[in-house]
Amino acid sequence: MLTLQGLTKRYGEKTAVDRLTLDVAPGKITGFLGPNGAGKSTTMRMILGLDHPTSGTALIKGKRYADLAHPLREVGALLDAKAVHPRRTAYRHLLAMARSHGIGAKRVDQVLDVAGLGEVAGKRAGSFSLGMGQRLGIAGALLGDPEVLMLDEPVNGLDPDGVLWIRNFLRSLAAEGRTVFVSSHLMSEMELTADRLIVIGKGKLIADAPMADILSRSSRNSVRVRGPEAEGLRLLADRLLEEAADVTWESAGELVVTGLSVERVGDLAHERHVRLHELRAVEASLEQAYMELTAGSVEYGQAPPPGPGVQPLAYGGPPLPYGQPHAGQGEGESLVV
Amino acid sequence: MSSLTTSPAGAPRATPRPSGGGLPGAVAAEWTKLWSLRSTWYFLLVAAAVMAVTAGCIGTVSHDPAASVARPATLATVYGVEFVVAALAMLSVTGEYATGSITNTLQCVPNRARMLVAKSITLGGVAFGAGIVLAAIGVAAGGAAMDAGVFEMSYVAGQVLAIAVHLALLSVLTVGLAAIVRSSAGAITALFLLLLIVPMILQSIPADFFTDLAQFLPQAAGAQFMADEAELYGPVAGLLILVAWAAAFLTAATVVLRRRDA
Ligand SMILES: Nc1ncnc2c1ncn2[C@@H]1O[C@H](COP(=O)(O)OP(=O)(O)O)[C@@H](O)[C@H]1O
Ligand SMILES: [Mg+2]
Repeated sequence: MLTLQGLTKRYGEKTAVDRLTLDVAPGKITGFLGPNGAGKSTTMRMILGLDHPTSGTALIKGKRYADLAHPLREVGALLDAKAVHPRRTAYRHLLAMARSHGIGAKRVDQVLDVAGLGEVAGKRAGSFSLGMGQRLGIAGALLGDPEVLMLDEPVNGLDPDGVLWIRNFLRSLAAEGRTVFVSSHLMSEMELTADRLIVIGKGKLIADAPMADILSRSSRNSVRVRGPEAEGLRLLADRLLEEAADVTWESAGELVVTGLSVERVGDLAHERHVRLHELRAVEASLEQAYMELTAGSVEYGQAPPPGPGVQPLAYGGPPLPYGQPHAGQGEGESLVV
Repeated sequence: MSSLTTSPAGAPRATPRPSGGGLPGAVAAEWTKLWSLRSTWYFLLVAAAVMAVTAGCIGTVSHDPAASVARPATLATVYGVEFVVAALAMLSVTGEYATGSITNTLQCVPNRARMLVAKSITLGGVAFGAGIVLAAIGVAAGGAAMDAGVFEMSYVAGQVLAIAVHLALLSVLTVGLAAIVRSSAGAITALFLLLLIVPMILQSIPADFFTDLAQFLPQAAGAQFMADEAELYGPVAGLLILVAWAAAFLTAATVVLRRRDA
């Protein structure tokens, strides 16, 4: 459906998108996740032919966007909700778009209703709130009844109602067999919407895998062990390593253990007579997994090499915040990276 | 695609078979956008006022009994009205860059040449239609203000047509120029340089070559095209030179837009 081949965009010295190669499959919601500045918007702009790739290609059903005879019927895109002439009414804005493709005015009314803007169709776009602007953008994206929908951070700045609306809406679109490609810098949001996840950092592909895979890998628990005696902890660590656990030193008095249950770690500590002040199971949330994934690309120059499948979610960054509740409990609770 | 029979919330699909679009669609979109902004009407009203006042003033100071009653309208076009009409053409481009809606325009019509031609047809067409009305206003106001003048129907009709064509071509030129420059301030500056400042500088250089060169710039070519009497090269050459300028700017804009990130 959407195929990126070695897509690269450089702005002077800066590489905004770095040899991105991926496929966006139909009938699914594909989340496009990355911290701010990762290159998501630039990638989408290149797919739409707004920006020119420095090298590589972005094709829609094998064609460049500019070569599509009826682009709005193939790809509906919402890039920047504010990119509408503020003194034009919502209706006229959509009508102009529709006329460019020979789409009738009836369809304009339909998409206005679908987006819940029927009441304010005659109002100027400049008077719209951000949420209404996003809805107008979505109405425009739906105008041509396209097979592919591409939305850049559609929940940005929305209230919980709006977020919920978009989430359900994307689901209904995917359920109809459409290809939905939606970007976000919020893992919690992606966890709730996406079937498949593409993670980028510093323009590079970090992970490309079904959500279930990423979830199963990231949900393995770790155990946090803290004690006052460094010597004892070292003994415990040696014992844990014998059990084939992964041990990471947070500090001289603190270990993070993965691969063993909290009960087993407790038993081993008891067996070695190690005094503990804390023994706690930490459930790694998807949010945390995401931070681990992107930590390298945010903090350091080196990102894991791009490749097919999930990269191991090995911890390689700075100390993580303590385990958070499984992301997505609170509607508005999202971790901004 | 064919498996989809409904769009979200059960709305029926747009059209089973894609049709429409192309250049006619792009023109229809530009037309819709142009007339959905109130400022379009303001510009045309201002142009009418400028025409009436300027042609009236010129008519008052015209004391050549052999002059056509269309002469004040022609002069008012070159010295005033054309800038208002060009500003409308300019805003159809720079306004989209300023608001960011150019990305929406290019999403609908990704072919840069088609987008620019559609804007040219729309703005040129509106300038032509408005130009006929504006010229008629100018002839009426100017003619009434003149103490003596020649009214010959076919000649006046030709002048009115020439004014409309001049405004249309200048609008096309401006669309191209504005697409290259993108910002309103920059486009206004470039337009004034091209139409007024550069010719003045060239004519102030005491060498025939530069004085002659100034005669081939758009403003002089338009004036020749609309002139009463054939001066340097006459109306037909004037028209062709103006067409060439408009085509050159449109072509340059297409090349620039194809290469440049939106
Ligand atoms: N027109 C531009 N000129 C220079 N740098 C740019 C331009 N557009 C984007 N960038 C840079 O490219 C990087 C990627 O930006 P962007 O695609 O907007 O990221 P995201 O959408 O993931 O937040 C950022 O570092 C940004 O500063
Ligand atoms: Mg972005």
